[in-house]
Amino acid sequence: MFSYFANPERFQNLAKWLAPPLMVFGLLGIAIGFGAGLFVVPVDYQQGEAVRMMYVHVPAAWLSSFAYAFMAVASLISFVWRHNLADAAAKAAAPLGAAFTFLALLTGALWGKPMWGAYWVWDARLTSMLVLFFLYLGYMAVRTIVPDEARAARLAAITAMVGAINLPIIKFSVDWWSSLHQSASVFRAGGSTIDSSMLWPLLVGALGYTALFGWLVLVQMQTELDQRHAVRLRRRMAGGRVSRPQAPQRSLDNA
Amino acid sequence: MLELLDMGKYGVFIWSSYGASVLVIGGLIIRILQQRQKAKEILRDLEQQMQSTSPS
Repeated sequence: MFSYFANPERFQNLAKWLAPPLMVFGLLGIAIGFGAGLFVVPVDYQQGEAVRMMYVHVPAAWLSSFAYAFMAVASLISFVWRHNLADAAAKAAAPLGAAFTFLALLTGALWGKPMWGAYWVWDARLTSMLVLFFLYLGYMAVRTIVPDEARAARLAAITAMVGAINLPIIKFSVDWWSSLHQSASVFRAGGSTIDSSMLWPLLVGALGYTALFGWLVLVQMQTELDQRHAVRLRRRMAGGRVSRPQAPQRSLDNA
Repeated sequence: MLELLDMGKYGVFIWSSYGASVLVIGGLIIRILQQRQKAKEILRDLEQQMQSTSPS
């Protein structure tokens, strides 16, 4: 299965077909989630209007973990099978994950101030999310700093796989340690504790964020493959004099 | 209108969080699409150069 999707031409065809609906669903889902979060959902009996921040904070927080899981799995495939497209996928997911983690931290701080009286506390959930942000930055730094592209890919893959240990810590931090952050209220045993009138915009928004992530990963991967193809063309034009080592090449050589 | 902006005294936090989200997401989309366009142009130029220099 991996080798089937390793063919860049097949991937480009799939991306061309998949990208437009993902873009539409993503933007529409986010617009509906934001609009309903701001103007439609009822006021919470405890938090009042401040509950509206849930509709920007929670989808960003969910996506930041999802993007890391995606990056870690893609890194594993790239590391074990030298799968070029998986490496491109992991590389594409990193800046997106970092941006959404930053958003989760920022909107969480803005929600925390009126609810907890502080923008930041060294709480287990908040701290593990900050670690996630640094893991993304570390991954991107490895890819930028290491000049040998193949070595950078392998080192970054190891970074991503090791960092995946942080994902269960984020998820269960609110149960394992005494935390200011509320425990799970949507995906929990016994069902969601949020009323359906407040839940649906959250789910629509989260689906929108996920579809947008899918679209942007596809676009980033297409860009990455074009850039790698351009490097090969330049090398060919220079008569093989350009000798910068490349990422795992097995699949791209067929492009 | 003022009531909508005030949002029960949480307006500054709510509007800031939505504004930041729109800015970050919008910025991401614009940056990624610009990079895509640039990569396509570079590749197209290179392919044209390859065609013009290759022996017929």
